[in-house]
Amino acid sequence: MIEAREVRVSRGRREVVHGVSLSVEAGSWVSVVGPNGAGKSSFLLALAGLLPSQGAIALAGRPLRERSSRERARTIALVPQQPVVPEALTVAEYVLLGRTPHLSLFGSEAGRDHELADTVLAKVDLAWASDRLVATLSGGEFHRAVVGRALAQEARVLLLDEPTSGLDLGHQVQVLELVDSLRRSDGITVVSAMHDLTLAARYSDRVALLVDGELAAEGPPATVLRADVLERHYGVQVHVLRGPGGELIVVPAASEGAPA
Amino acid sequence: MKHASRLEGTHLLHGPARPSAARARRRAVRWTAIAVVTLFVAVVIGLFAGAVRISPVGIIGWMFGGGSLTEQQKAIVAELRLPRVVLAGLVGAALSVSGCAYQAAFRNPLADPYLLGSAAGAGLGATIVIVLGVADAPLALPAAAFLGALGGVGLAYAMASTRAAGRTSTSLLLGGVAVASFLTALQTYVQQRNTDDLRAVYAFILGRLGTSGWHEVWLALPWVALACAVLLASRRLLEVLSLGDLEAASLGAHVARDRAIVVIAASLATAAAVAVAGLIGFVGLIVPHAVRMATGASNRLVVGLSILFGAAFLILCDVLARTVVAPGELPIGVITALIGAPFFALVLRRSGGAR
Repeated sequence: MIEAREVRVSRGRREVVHGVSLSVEAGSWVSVVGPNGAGKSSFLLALAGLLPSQGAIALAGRPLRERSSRERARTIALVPQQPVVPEALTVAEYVLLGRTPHLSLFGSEAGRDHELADTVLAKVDLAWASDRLVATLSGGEFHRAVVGRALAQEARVLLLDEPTSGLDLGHQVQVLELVDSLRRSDGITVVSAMHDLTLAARYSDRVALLVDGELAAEGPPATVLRADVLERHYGVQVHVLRGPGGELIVVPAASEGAPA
Repeated sequence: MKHASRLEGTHLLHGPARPSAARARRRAVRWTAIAVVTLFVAVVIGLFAGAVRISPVGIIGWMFGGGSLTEQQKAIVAELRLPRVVLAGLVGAALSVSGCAYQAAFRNPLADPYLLGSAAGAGLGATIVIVLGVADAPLALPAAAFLGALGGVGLAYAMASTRAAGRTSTSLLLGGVAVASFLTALQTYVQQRNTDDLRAVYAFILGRLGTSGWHEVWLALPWVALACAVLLASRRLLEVLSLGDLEAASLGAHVARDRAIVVIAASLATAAAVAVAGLIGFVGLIVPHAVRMATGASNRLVVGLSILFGAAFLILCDVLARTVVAPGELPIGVITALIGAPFFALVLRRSGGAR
């Protein structure tokens, strides 16, 4: 679904992603993990065509550069790290903005767009809130509204930039479960930048570890999220444990002699 | 899954989706009706106010083609008062809709139509024409102010575009601030070199509605109509832009181009308003905010309502300007600032408290 080859991204004059190659299969979930400043967000935004990049990025077999911005937004939807909270929009109006790439410059929504928005609102369990102002939603509800707006784009690829930042444990799981169930039911492809390695392990088919703008490791969670690999790149001692269901759990080791 | 059942429970608790689109439409119709009635009342008051007393009933009859008015009364209403009321309406609509557009395009609640140097440019253009002594030539003053206003905005754009990071709303804003300071300094310099013309220059800067029949109306009308049409068509675009550059781009918008469409349309309306009425402050700030506060609505509704309420507001301000010290006249900019400044403080307090 996504083929990225030797992608380089610069912010200002500084190159922050140095030639990263990654391929993402259709319908899979790939998590990009790594320490702060590793270039996760920059790489993700480059995949969406929202940051200029060098190298080659192809979406569904077609180079990203050949697509217009509207075409691109119909293929790939972004759930940003800190979405802007609009002051006067209702939840229904907010989700409808996801129809933008399907409308002409001065166009307005038709019946089908409204129907689709209603379907999406039901999917993200916000149908009851459709008349409420987005600004009055709780953090978890707002995240679901943002996911709803991305779904309304009817894109086959969903990019999540730190989808759980600022959410408590329950809401983190709620948002990720929602995305996972949509991936299974609608067959969308998910690429997410994640901080929490345990959650990354739980939801991803593959994990890409980005360190200092370079791909340090890539593969199924169990092969990338190993104690020795993580210790080398994060600079702390960690334990990689198995939960009762066999799931990977990454926790920092007790600070015995290790720097705090 | 345990989690899914919890979600379903929530769903049942709150009932099925409401037809929110129909509800939004009803609200739009209701508020549009209120705005149209307000504008109508403002026009009647505007035609009523003046030294010669003419009954409001007669005026309304005349508006609908009937007539209990004498020929003399008709002449006063049609040839003296109507052009002024129409001009006030046009200027009020232009400033309000531009303010609304700027606030959305720059995601800044304190943005007003003069943000990008159009006021300073218009002031400089008008001052030059006055100082050169050609201000009495037909349309010389409005034309110079119009070109000055567009020149100011053009300069701000040019400055913002040359920066490497360019054409973000912040660089455009900073460009506007720099251009405004520069042009104001130039204007002050020209003005101080020619202190004989201070009175005429200040008359322009304080804002005044022209009284020479329909000339100013015909000058402003095409630009204001064009801008209103473009901005009404861009209501959805304004909402997309209000999500910020990154999210707007992720929704497939050409952010720089789309913002330029909005800013150019708003600047044309502002330039036209400044050209015929001088600098009238606060209208572009308070009307869109008042509409937002009263309706709680998004830009979809606020753009259109700003046009109608803005027209009504300035017609009423002009009535005050003409009547408070009659037979003299106050500069209309003084009235709008007297009402606007306290309101502005209120908006500041509210938007400060919300963060």
